[in-house]
This record gives sequence, structure tokens and C-alpha cells, in this order.
Amino acid sequence: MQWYSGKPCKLMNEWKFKDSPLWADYQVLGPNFGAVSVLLSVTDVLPIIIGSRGCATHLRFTKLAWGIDYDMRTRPLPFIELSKSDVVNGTYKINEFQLLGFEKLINRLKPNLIVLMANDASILSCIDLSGLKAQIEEIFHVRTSILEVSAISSSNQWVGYDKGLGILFDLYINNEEVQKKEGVNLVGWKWPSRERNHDIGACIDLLDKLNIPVNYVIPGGSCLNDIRESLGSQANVLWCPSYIGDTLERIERERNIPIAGFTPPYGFDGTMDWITEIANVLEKPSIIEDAKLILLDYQEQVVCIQNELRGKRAFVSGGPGRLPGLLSIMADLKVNVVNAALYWPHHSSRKTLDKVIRRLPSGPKNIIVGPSLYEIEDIASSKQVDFWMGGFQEQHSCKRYEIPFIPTTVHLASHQCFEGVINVGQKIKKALEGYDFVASSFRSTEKL
Amino acid sequence: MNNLSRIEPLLGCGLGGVLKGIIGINGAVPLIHGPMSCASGHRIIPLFGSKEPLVPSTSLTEIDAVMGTKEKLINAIEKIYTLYKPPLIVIILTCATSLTSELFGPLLDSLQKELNIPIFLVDGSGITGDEIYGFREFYKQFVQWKKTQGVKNKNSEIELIGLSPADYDSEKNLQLLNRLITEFTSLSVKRVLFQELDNIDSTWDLLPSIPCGHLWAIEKKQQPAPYGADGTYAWLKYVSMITKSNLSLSIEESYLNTKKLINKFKQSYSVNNLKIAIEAESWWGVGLSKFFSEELGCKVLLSSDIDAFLYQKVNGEVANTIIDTGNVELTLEFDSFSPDMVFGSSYVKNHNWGWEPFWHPIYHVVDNTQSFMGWRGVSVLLTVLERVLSTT
Repeated sequence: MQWYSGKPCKLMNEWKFKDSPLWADYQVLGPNFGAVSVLLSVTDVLPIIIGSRGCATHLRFTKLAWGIDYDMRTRPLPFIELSKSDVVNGTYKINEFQLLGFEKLINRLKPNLIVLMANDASILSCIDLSGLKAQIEEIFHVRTSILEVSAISSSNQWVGYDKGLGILFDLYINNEEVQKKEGVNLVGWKWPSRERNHDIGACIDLLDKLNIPVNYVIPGGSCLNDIRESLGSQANVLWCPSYIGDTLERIERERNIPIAGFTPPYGFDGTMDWITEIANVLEKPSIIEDAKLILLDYQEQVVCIQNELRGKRAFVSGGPGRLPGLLSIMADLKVNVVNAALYWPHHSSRKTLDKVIRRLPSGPKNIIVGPSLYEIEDIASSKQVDFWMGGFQEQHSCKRYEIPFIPTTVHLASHQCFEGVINVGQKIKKALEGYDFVASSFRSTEKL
Repeated sequence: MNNLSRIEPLLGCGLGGVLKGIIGINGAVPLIHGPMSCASGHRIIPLFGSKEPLVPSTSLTEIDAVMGTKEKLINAIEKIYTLYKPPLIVIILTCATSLTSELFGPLLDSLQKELNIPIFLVDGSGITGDEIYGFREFYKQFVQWKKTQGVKNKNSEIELIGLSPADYDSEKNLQLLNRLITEFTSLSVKRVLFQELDNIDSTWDLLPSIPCGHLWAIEKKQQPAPYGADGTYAWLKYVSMITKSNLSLSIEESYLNTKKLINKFKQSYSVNNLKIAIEAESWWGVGLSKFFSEELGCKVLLSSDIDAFLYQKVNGEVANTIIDTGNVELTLEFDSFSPDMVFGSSYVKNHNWGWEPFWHPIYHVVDNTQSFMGWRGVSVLLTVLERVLSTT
């Protein structure tokens, strides 16, 4: 894994990491989760895990349990059971009993695409899965693809997001002529929800106010036809920069659909940057002026929150999209960020973080990349912060040292766009007054 | 089980079972020797047990698998020792490290001597076995190690084996089991493997073990969990048989009072038309099934592990049993069955039937309930059924 602990300026200048032998990680998920989270978001795609029951059970839990607040309903995640001797002998075939199970499921779900997800055993033993693919296509007459991303592929979910998207767009990118339409796609939201108070709802609402039609949200809640039709949009706007990779870059090159929104839409300046990028690719500078008018109202609202939070010391953590976003909000609220942590580095993080850190009134003195629980414990025990915004499992150290804690990975009211500054400011105030946002291990106790 | 048609498993891989054991030993630290994804996916195990999700890994990627992982493993173990000073470190292999079959034995022997703590190595890969297999492997190693420091205990103390803080409602169920032992036997529970174990490095009394939970089927004579009047009575008799001790005379009164309660309920409600579906590992699932089918006459559909099937093969059928099936596939089976009430995980929570949380994962917010076990648990179960019956 990629680890760093030190001054932010050194990180931004060098972008160099060490490989730590031990990672007591509490937040990052793996590449196979990245892929499953894309594939399970698409309504007519059926992913099938090859080999390992553990991957099937823990991936389905992570996707379904943490998505319950975002309308994620139970979806199947079947697996083809293989023993160690099957792997060693290369016996990758569905037997007659498993066929019965698949027949029932496929007849009911009627997927338009089946994706066979390789596991570590098949990747390490270099098994050719095309025979299994052919078996499934012949029996079930459903288009089938192979995704060679498994747990061992990487130390974070990025390659899973990219390859998961790639498997979907591969069906259409070379061949399909699609009707061009005005509007953009929002890429990176992986839930069916379009609720107004969720992050996606805040983004859609803001773009609507700026007269920018959102044609499709990819992949959350979409179907294969949406993936296809999205190739007619004017731009792929990133809801989350973690999705930047070969797939979106290829679409940009080969289908002339530019990527916009490398700065995630958090905070006043961050959201303006996001909108400016969109305006530039759409060649509509008037969007920026319209956005400034909308921003005025929020700038008035934030003044009293700034007065209460000015100078407060914070610890903030997040992934490649969320951390720069939350730091942007801290800058708007005039909070001093004493320490920060980035769960895993994405190549887009360097530029965005650098820009955002310069906007902060002061700090952070130290930034950790690839934090472990024991590092979180050290920071919490030093009692240098007045409040803490971070991943749900950072609550344990915060509770031990009685630090007001605001979870950022499980929440209800949006943290994004201009309104996110107000929402986050209100939450920080509540936390400082003693409100417990994490009274449950799995659900936020936030009330809207 | 290559002759199963199920494609969505109930049980995870051995890693999950090993973790269920480890979290019951205070201070013990697991180390997933494999990709970080295997660790991240199983953080939920300590969370189910209301513990911090400390599941560190060596975070291997493909290049490590090719180049060899011993150095990383040594460095990781040494770092764990420096940070946590644990009484026990458990290295858990994943599919990647199980398949590459590097020899870790001599390395770990040497580290054990150097650090002066036990270091276990368990194959937790899904291609080797499921959660129950993983829990049993961990238990075997632990008991083998403790036997070397054991002294036979002549007091009336026993241990319950096969339970974990990660089991649903583990605290309440354990309180109930403790109370049953205390009230109706002359025994006391000294420890539970594995729940809140302390000081594992000190001399260990060898105690009579009562197989429960994930270990209930390791002995020839098996007894499922104490649900219902008959089930509770049978479980206490089982304890008495293993420990060769007497039961208290008050057991008959408690048993008969509970039977009266059940009979009164059956007179008030037509329960033998009720259909109950259960999703749980076999000790819990068979125990609850027996109550519903044998004492109330309900029809029962059970999704459980292979031991549920094997138990019924010997002791008679108590439920139509599906093996190792979960999530949507199980929900479809339940749909065909049309249950009035389902006891299971959040995956099978559905508006088509009444639902009680009974088996992890429970990710919905649920009201606190009392344990369903024991004679007191019968009233709780009957209250649940009353709710269902009054709406049908």
C-alpha cells in the first residue's frame, strides 16, 4: 500500500510514498468492491464472483448495508463455488447443480449482461476463463464479459471503479452511433437514490438551477441502455474524481466527450471550480456568472456559522474526492485544520489537494496517506483538536478521548455544493454542543 | 458441497470464522496475510461484536505474490508486537497466500521464540473452507496450545465453547445460558470460548466443555440451542450428561409451567397453520426450528449449514432444510414458501412477511429485544407470534 506521514508541502512536491508492511486500515475498500459497487448499481447487470464465497458474502454486505440510506435494495451477488483442487486442476466449469441455481436466478432477473469476476486464485493461476464465459453464453443466451480485477489487483478500489465502468462502456464505445443531446452525465454516484437531500440530489439541483440538464447518472441506478445513451451527452462530469481513469479518458479521446469536474463540488470555492470546469467544456461562460449569484445567498448564511467556528481546530479525513472537498469547506468556515488524512492517493488528488490546502487559514501541520487505526489513536490522544470529521470507524478513538465527531462517510444531509457548507457547519455546531452522530455502529443518528 | 444448486452462500470464508474466535480474546490481534480487501470486507465481524474494527493486513498485491511475502510478514508481525503487545497474534491466510503455499512454519516458530508470544497460522481462504471450518481450525489450535499449560480442575466449573461476541444478540443469549446453568445445575460457567477471555498466557484449568454455537457438532452427541420448553429441558440434560452432574429439582416446575404457557397459547391461537422461515447457523437454527415444529406444530423452512441437515438425518426432521443459502436466492425460496414470520438477517427482511432479527448481518435499526432462549424466551417468542397472528 502507499503510505506517507509528514508535511503537506513535501507530499505535494514529491508525491512519493512508502510501502508499509502493516496496514490497520478501517476505511478503504478493495478493487473488487470498486468493481462490484459499479456493477451492482446497474439494474440489468448480473455480476458473478468466481470461486470465493468470502468475496460474495463480504462484498454484498458492504454494498447493501452501507447503501440502505441510498435506496440500495437487496441485489443478488452469486458465486461459482470452487475448491482448492478445482483451482489447481483448472476445473472452471459450472456443474449441473449450479446450473439449476443460475437458471432460476437468470430467468427471474433477465439480465442483459453477465460479468464474471475473477478471483485471486484464478488471477494468480493465470486461468483462461473464456471457456466458462462460453459455457454461460451458450446455456443462458446472455452476453457475458470477464472482469480480471480481484482483491490482489490493488490496495484500493480505484482500478475496480475504472475497470467496472470499462466493462460496461466496452459494449458500446466502438460501435454505437448514439443521438447527440444537450446535457451532461454525472459520473461516480453509485446508488439508485436521487433524493434531494443526498449528495447526488444537491448536485442535480444545482445544475438544474444553472440550466445544465443531467441526462444520466452513471452508474448508480442506471441500466445498460443508459450507459449506451450517455455516449450522446456533451460531457462526463465527475461527481467523484476517484473514477478518473482509462475508461473515461478513452471515452474522451474516442467519443469526444470531455471530462469535467476534477475538483469535487464541495465548499464555495470548490463548487465554483467544479462549475467553472463544466462551463468551460460546455463553452458557456454565463454559467459561471449565474453560479456566483446563487452563491451570494449562501455566503450571507454562512457568516454567523463562521463567527462561531472561526479558529476552531479540526482533524479531517477523506478519500481522493472527499478530503479536498471537506478541506474546502473548512476553508469557508475559517477552521484551522491541524491534521488531515487521505485514505488512498489518486493521481488527481495531488493538484486538487495542493490548491485547497492553500485556501485554509492555517495547517494542516501533518498529513497521513493510508492511515491506520493506531495513527488515528495517536492523533486523538494528543488532544490537539476541537472536533473531528472523518470516516465512520474513526468514532472509536474520538469516543475514547471525548472529541466531538462528525461522520463523513455515513450521513444524510448533503455535504456537497454550496448548501453543503451550511449543512456541515450546522453539524459541527451540533457536535460541539454534544450531539452524538454515531450512537449506532452502522447508521448515522443524524436527523434531517 | 459440489452438489448444491445454491449460488448465493449463507456462510462466508474461513477468515470470518477465525475472526469470530479472535475477537473473543481480549488483546489478541489478527493479521490478514493477503490483500487488504479480505481484511476490509471482514471488519464487520468485530463491529458485530461491538468491538473496534482492528483487522490489519499485509496488504499484498500481485507483485508480492510473485516475489514472495515472507519479509513483509515478518515486518508486519514485529510491528504488531511493538504497537499492541498482544497476548496472541493470529496469521490468517487468504486465497492468494493459501494458493502460493509459501512455507511459514519455521519463520513463525522463530518469531514466537523471539517475541515470547504464541503466533498461530490458520488458512482462512474461501477455497479451503467456510466460516465454521475457520472457527473450528482456530479453536483446535487454541486448545492444543492451552493443553500444554493445562491443569485439571476439580471444581464445579465448566466452559461453554463455540460462541463469539459477533453472534447476533450474543450478550443477552450468554446471560441467559449462564442463568440456566446457575439456576438449574450445581455448576458455574468459568469461561466462554470465545468471549471476553483474559490472561490467556497464564495457567489454564482444563474444564468440562459444553459444545455450543459454531462448535456444537464437533462431538458425536449433539444438542442444539435451548429454545422452547423441550429444547431448554433437553439442553440442561445435555449439560448434566457431559458434566455427570445433577440437575436441580426446580427444573420440572419451570418446564411444566412453560408447557402450560405454550398449551394455553395453542388453545387461543391456531398455530399449526403458521409458516415460519429461519436463516441461521445450525445450533441456533435447528434449536428454534424444533420449538416451532415440535412444540407448536408450525411448518418450518430453515436455511442453515450442513450440520443442520446431518443432525436431522440422525434425529428426525424438524424443518425443510436448505443448505448454505442466503440473500436474494434465499428470499426467493422464502417467497415460494410464503412464511408468516421470518427469523433471520437483514437480507431477508421483506414487506411480504413479519421479520425478527435473528442472524447477522443485521444492518437495519432494530428495537432491543430479550433473548429468545430458555424458558423465559418462550414468552418472548409467543409475544412475537401473537403480533403476527393478530394481523392475519
